[in-house]
Amino acid sequence: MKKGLLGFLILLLSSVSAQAEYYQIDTKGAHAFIEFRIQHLGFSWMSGRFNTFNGHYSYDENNPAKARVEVDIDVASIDTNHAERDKHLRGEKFLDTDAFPKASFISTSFDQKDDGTAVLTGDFTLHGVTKSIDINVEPVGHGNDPWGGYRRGFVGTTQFTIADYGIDVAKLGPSSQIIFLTLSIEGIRRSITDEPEADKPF
Amino acid sequence: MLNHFVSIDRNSGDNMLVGNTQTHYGWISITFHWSVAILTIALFFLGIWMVELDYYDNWYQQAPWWHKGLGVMTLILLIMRWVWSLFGASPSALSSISAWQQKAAHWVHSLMNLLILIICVSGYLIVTAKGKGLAVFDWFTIPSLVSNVANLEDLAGDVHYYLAYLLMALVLLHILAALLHHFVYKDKTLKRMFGQ
Repeated sequence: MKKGLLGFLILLLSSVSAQAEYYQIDTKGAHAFIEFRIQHLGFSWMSGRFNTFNGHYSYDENNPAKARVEVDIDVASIDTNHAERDKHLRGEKFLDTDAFPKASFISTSFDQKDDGTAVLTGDFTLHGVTKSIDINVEPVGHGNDPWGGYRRGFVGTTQFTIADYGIDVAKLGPSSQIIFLTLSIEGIRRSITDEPEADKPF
Repeated sequence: MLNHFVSIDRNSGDNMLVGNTQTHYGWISITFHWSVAILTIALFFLGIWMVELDYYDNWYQQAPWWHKGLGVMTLILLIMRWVWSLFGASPSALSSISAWQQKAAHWVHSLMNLLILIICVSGYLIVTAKGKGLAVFDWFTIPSLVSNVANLEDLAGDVHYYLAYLLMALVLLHILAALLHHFVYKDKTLKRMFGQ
């Protein structure tokens, strides 16, 4: 009897650990950031971020190739710490957020190397244009948080030519054609069975 | 106090009054009118011109600097003009002007002033929406008062833009009415605003 229960528990635990873990990106507690940098005139860096986004990912330590990520970004939440510039960037000449309010990233593959770093490939949609991009991913850490939850974080970096997404930034000068992104992501592990159907990650 | 000013002027034999009378505008009211008029029209064209400037244009930084400074000057003049109007007599419309035209003129004048006020405030909100102050030339900076409303700069920008066009439509109406009085009715309405 005792043996049977133990065996059942071991079976349960092993089946749980073999499953992918689902993580909600902690935007609620603001432990996730989408930051960007672009050169100004070729003299310096200007940085900003998108304040509003949400997303989730799945990750299985035993089968990282099956990891999936999905993020939606409210483009109008762009924040470069300068109201007039943000208004300008949201306008028709740049992001045109009235016509294209949402940007999104949906992963298509996750290639983890032996050292733990990975290349996350996915379809990135911005300004109504969808293109495949590669994000270099480094794991930061994971474990129990002090409040009864379990968290796992990554940092991703990528870059792309802005004009590829149909946004004409030629007027900003030759040094300001490429945008560099840093994605700091902390996910809180959750049990999908606790979540309503519509909110299931994938 | 005003009557005192006026009587001094009259005693000195000067044709140009300081304050208004029942039939004439004094030079203070006249100066207010024309300075607000010139600034308002200039700011409109400066505004629609500056937003189209190329990033590398020499005026890209300088034009908004002027637009903001002059905009605040306009708001100050508007308030001073309003305060002045509280204390002084306002010349009555010419008796030859029909009642509906007097009423229409009154509404257009009030609406133009209200629009200038809202346009100035919305312009201020565009600049200060994220907590930065508004620099008035290199003289002083007006601090940000409202900065916790999401995308306030966009909302304020729309108000600023559309009301500026509405104001210019009213300005056109105002100018046409003044010219109508001058050339068709051949009355003193326009001349009075030049001190006659």
